[in-house]
Amino acid sequence: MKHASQKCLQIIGCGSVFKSIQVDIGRYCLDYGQINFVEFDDVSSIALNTASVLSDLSPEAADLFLAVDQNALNYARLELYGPAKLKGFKCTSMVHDSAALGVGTYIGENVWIGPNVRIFNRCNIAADTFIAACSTIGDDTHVGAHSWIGKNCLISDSVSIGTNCVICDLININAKIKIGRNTILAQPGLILNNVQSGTFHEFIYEKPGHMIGRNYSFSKRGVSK
Amino acid sequence: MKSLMPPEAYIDESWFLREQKLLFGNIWQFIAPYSLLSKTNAFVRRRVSGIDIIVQNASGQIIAYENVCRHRLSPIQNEDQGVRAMVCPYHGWSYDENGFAKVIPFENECYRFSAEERMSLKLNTFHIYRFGSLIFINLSDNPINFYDQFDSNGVRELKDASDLFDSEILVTKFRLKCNWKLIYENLRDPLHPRFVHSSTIYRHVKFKAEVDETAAAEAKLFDASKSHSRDDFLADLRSFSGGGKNEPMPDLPSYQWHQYVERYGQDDWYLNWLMFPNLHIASGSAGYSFIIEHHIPISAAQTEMWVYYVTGKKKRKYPTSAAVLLAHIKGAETVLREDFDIMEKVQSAITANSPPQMTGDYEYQNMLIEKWYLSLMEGRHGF
Ligand code: FES
Ligand SMILES: [Fe+2]
Repeated sequence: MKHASQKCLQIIGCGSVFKSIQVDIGRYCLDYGQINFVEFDDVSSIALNTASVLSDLSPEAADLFLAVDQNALNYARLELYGPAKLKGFKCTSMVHDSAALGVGTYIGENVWIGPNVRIFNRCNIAADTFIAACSTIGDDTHVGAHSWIGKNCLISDSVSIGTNCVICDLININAKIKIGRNTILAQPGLILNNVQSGTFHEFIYEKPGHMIGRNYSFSKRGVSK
Repeated sequence: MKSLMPPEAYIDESWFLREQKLLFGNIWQFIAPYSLLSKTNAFVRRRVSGIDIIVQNASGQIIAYENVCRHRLSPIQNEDQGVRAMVCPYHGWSYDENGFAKVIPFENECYRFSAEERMSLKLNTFHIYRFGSLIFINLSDNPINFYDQFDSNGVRELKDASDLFDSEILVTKFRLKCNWKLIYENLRDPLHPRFVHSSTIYRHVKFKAEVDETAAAEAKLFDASKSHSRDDFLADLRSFSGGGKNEPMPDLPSYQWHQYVERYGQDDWYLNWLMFPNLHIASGSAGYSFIIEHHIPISAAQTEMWVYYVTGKKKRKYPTSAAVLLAHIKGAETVLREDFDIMEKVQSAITANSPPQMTGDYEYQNMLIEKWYLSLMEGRHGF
């Protein structure tokens, strides 16, 4: 296998994360021979063009980073990530050099840790999850795959966040809270109670939207992962 | 043509209460999709005509109860929907499927009811009708036949479509500051999309406002005050519900998830149904997915809107189904906002001294319905 420095890195995506990486690429401490950017027009063009973009590349020659903002439970990013993994690509993670990671904290692949993020000890940030600038995550917290944490969030200790979640900017989550999968928290403020899977907290509804059906409200456990 | 609707019909609370009694107290009205009630102990709680109602799956039967404990009047269920047995949280009374108090903790030690008192401990129940996968409720002790209210042919397609609804469903609730009738007059108005939705849905679906000469002439001639039998009254009522293929969608986008769900029908048409008075179901994806809009009148100037998003039944599970439903709400939200906005403005403009509305021939449906409605409200006809 080639050493990373002999491989090239393809950064594929669109949106604010893609752009912020592009202008700041020098601060991600990457060890690649070459770095290329492939930008999509918008999220709707991803599904249509993923196959052709990937077919020009080989997993032996290139690693990938798939940089797409949150959009419909991060579905757009998953549309790139899923096919890339099926084709055997390795995805790198991008940690900004101003971010700090604690002891025993594990970061999956295709994770983006933005500028000035603080992640304390023994956390687990699963694959394909993005954490935007100036957010802080306490000890022993788990964030599921394909999730998004916005800017200036404060996630306390021992919090568990499910897969495919979107936690928007300026949200504080109290210690030991469980956030189920497929959840959107879009109202800045403090989360003091567990949030069931499939809950959409947004301004537009008088009460949060809820997914109902198998594995949601009908699941045995109150909060399913 | 000068509309006969007085401004009170939209703003007056005593009018509202009379309407609740005369109309909503007698008709079948939607309460919830069956899929929210499919599991034992699944329930839906809604406040209809001021009554706190739970519809509950009680050992497989779907039954509607008044959500008021017979002990100290505590609500038995406190969430809008969920899965929980009928046990009052206050002192733990449980109720059986017929609404009778089943187990009363410390009954002999603390309550010491006489046999007669014990027998009387029963929740109020209401009549239920399951139409496809839509559950309807009737608050009257003596309800009219469901098909006296709805024409079985006219609403058959909707029944078939609802049988295709998937069990994964997204529920949201909005509150509108307007009278519920404005919403339905707007839904029956095919001319407004080109103005109100010009940059959204009108770009994809060209709603046409045409005058149906016969229907318009009939609506004008229709005079509910003259020799109009109860049968005629019900026949008119039945003509208010129905729908189906509304307008063609020539550039319907194709999404990957379409192949994972069953589709209602084969044609690329916008589907649209109204079930009088307060249920609207549409499919902007030509049969792959549906929006169910249920408007519950709260007061003269307030309406609660429950929205359910659902796709056709899944042929197989796919990991992004939640994102698909979420994308629907994002798409629908903009269009809903455009309507909310205009209707709330209209509501705020109506005063007791407003001049009469001037409806045009293209509004023949609204014309007919208002005449029928006034014959009910003015006591010329009843159920
Ligand atoms: S109020 Fe329900 S058990 Fe006492
Ligand atoms: Fe509209």
